[in-house]
Amino acid sequence: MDTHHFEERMNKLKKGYEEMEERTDPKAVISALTNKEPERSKRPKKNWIVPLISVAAIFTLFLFAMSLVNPPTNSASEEEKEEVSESGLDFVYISQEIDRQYAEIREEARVKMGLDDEEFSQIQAVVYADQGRNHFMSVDFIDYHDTYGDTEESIIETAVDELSWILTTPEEFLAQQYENSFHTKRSLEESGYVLSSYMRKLLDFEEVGSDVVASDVQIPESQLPTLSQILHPKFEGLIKFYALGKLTEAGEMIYPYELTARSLIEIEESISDEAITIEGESHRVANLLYLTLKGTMSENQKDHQAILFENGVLKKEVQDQWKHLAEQPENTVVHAVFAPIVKEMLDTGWTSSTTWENISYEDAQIYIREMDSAKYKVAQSKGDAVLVDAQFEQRIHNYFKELALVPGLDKYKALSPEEIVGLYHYYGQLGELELRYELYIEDERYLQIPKDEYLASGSIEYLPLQKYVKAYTFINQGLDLNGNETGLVEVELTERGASTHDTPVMLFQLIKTEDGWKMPFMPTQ
Amino acid sequence: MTVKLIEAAQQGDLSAYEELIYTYRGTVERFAYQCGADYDDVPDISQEVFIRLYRFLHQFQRDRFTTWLYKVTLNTTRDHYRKETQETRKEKRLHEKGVLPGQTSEDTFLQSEADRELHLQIQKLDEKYRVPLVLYYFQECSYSEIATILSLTLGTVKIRIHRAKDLLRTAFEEQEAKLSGHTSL
Repeated sequence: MDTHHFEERMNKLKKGYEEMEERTDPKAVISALTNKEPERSKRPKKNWIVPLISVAAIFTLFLFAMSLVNPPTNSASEEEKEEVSESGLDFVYISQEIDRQYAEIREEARVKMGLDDEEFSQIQAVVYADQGRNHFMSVDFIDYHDTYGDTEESIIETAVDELSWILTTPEEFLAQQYENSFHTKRSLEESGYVLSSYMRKLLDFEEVGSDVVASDVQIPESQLPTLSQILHPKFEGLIKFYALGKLTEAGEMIYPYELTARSLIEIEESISDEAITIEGESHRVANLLYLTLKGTMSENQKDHQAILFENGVLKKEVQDQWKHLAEQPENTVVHAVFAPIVKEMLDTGWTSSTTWENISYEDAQIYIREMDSAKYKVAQSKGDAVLVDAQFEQRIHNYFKELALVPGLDKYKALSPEEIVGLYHYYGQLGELELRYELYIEDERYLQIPKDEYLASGSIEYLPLQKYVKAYTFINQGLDLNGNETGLVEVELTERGASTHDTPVMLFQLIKTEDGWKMPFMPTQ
Repeated sequence: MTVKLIEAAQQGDLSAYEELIYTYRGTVERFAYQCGADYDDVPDISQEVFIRLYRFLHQFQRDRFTTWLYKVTLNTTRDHYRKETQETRKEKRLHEKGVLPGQTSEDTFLQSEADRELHLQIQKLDEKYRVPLVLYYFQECSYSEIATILSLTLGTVKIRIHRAKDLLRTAFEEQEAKLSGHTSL
């Protein structure tokens, strides 16, 4: 069942539910309220700060742990716990049940990890979970949920679910994500959530007192295939970068040199996306760039020479990597850094480069900030107007003749955005709905309309092209959330066209795919 | 108008609260039914919801009324069946509905067999998938509203709705395959 069909059925069922007769008798409710005198609790009302448990997962553990550093001052006395809330909640039962269930899941987690109790208790996540157990057993927590009308079972379930999540290991978390993904990669937004949650878990499963900080977290290489399967492709460079690991104490690489060049290219591809940033981690990428340039974190020129040069000439392996970086697209930072260096090196037979000698670590940091912020520059650029004259119309007609019977959705790959919209209008003029359907994007991440439904919607006859449109102008809009290039074609209408649509200009959206520019199913803006 | 009714009800105006019940009883009844309540139990559950809501009326902010409405309805529905195990309820429900869909009195408002079948499939979903799906599709809640109602993260809400859709699609494909006599490999 495709997405559109599914949505249609759900919508139909929704309408069906709306036919359900309303049977609640308001007067009976009022009567019940007036006959029952609600009991007022003798305990004074308190103002609770809303627990931070329900906010985004990435902050949950950190902020939750912080809130536990200063435990609530109104923690329950045994006497208070013996009370039953005004809605009938049994505090003692709830806290005991949370305690009992937590003990079970804690033990289960310990056995799974194959640790004795002492070792297990040294894991930071376990410390958080133990503290969390205390928090959830407190009157404050139970009372807060009481005000929402939650039942005993739902309060217990909330607490135990949260504690289970804290004790879920990074590997288990990824396995769950993989199982839930059904072999479909996550969107950019979801990928960010999954990766940041996973990295947080890696940190939380360090030992208490470990000197590992958030910016040092390393993804185990064994988990890269699973992450690749779950995350949006744009994250590929980033996860490989996070798998690179720490430097040695001497500030040297512990991985092959060729990896640095590849990683730089991949990470620039990742963070070129609007949704992905390395803010807070930029020093790690700056280290990577500096290492690629100098071979070591040392600022001593002699160390650079010793590592990268042999008999006064840059090592062949390094030459090949720098050339590869210099050949990257001109709008990339790696090209900007390495192209002038490679040119100078080539001019001197790979023996020297003044630009290279003068680059400092601070320069590397500036380059990386530029790499991350480049995406924030507005990608919009407006092209020149393409006039719809006899020549243009003939060109569109020729495309129709050449391509109408050609199979394959990539047959329009070579066409410009203006030509795609021109063809769209031309097909409309000819009543060629089946051909026009080929111009739409086939991608479940965008709205889809089944072909039979589209064809049944009837033809829309446009005026002959020259009588309808004056000019097409393409406006590049950069990347959308799915990582595809997008744009608009501004359609300047003739007087007749404008009177038909009651506007002189229409905008058609387009998306760049492997098969060329395609339209989404509701293309007009 | 709802805000004024809530304000008045908070001041003790029972006629305002009565009007509030008229306004929202349909929402409560439909949501309870969609969450798994038996049709015959819906009026009792709904009455209990409004009694509980009144008790806490003075405690919540007016702009969070619908969040409360859904939360209390969900909890009241769960409470109503707390003594039955999930399995016996499902068995009972399937026995009543699954063998002869559309022939019980409760389903007469679902006109088509396709609707009755879809309702049945939704009821077979685990609650953690069913409820977010119901809130999204039938109560038109946003992801963030659902996250607030169910005390889940936004990411979890999205994942559960996605999973629910996949499970329903799979159920339909299997059914269609059975009806057409195809066997899966």
